[in-house]
Amino acid sequence: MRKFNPNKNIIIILIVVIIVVATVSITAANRAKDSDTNIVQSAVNDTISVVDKVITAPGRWLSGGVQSVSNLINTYDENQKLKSEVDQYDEVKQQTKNQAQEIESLKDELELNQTLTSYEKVTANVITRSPDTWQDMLIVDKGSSDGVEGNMAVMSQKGLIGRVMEVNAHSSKVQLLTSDNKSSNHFPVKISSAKGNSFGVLNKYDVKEQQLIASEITEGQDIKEGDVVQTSGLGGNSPADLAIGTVVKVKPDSNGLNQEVYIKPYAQMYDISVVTIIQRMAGATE
Amino acid sequence: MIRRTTLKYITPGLLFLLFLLDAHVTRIIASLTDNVYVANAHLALLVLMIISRVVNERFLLGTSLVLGILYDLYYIGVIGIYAVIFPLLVMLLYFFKKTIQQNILTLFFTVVISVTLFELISLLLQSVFGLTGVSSDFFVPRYLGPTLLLNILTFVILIFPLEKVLIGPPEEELGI
Repeated sequence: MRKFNPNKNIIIILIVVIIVVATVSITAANRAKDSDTNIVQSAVNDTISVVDKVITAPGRWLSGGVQSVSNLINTYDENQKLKSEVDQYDEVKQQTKNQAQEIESLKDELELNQTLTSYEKVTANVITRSPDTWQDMLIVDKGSSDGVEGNMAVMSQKGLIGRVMEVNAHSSKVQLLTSDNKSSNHFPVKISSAKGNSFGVLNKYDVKEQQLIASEITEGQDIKEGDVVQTSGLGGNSPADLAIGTVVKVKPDSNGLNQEVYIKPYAQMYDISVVTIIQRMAGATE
Repeated sequence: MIRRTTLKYITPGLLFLLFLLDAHVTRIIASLTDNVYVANAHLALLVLMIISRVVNERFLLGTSLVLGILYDLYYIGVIGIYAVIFPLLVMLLYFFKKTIQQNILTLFFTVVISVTLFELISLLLQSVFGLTGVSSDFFVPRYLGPTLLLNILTFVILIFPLEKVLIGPPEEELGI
């Protein structure tokens, strides 16, 4: 039998608990405050991400192959459909071009360099998704060396999916809108209704319905189902007019004072392989 | 069959790769079910359990601590969640090994218990530190249930092949 000394064990357990609480609190506070990582952390994360990329290479190759075969099969139908749309497309394209030129020249006139809507893009591949379901994080293969910074908005092909949470030299972590992190940064949104815009903040996600919830809605506008929701660009991190989704329903919150808007996102929040990181041009964060 | 001494040296690398692989399996399953059911694959835990029968405790504790820290850094960015869970589970595995007779049925329950503990402790730690909030109607039916099911299936399919590859038949049978 081993000698059992309760005092010693209790002290050891206490010390371990204290160490754990300290490291978790310090690193969590660090993560929330400062999205740039230190050298060690960055090196570790980048190394693991390289190994991870090597592991997924066969899978990537396989799914690429499957994708191209299914693309080939769909080509005919798609071609038919596109042909019918392409007639109007040229006209619209020309119109957009003219309008863009007009906006440019008007901006020059006003000596406006960068408005809320101007942004630059960085496209990144998703290496993996955090297996921890409570975090809802993607790890992507672009980092500070590619111009990524903390708190940038992240889009998939269709709409907004999250924000950059942590930046390493060659990889970064993206937190999805689906996560329920209390310290995360909320996106300011703009809801375009028939009569005008209302503004709010995106702050929750309904797991069951797979819908985003915006609250702190400005009063006065009549928000209807199907209204388009975009970022408003007012918060300082994201540019304006990034697509988020459409309104599904509006209902009063639990206090009955404010309204909550349920939004069906354009982008699906699982199975994302490529993301676009959006860098806002006007009035950078600091 | 891998020799015991070799097994000890490849253990850290093997577990590391399996952890990365687990994340991908989890992701694929979630996207197959449109994110309705989330089943966390724990191949690494299964291998850890098998390895714990032949590798000594101190070595495996150290390995799991280092791997836990790496896991935390890479997947969460907060150190102290999985760096606690992995060593705890290793201790639990050795505790079971000491107190319970090891056969296929007890191993099966060890897997069930360690997977459940893994998920519960990770959720508990994260909600205590305010890193997440969770809806209770999500956790059991859509998360823990599928996770256990998946890991029971992987156990049934992989336990014999893995045992054969990693430990082989008992040494006295080989006549060593």
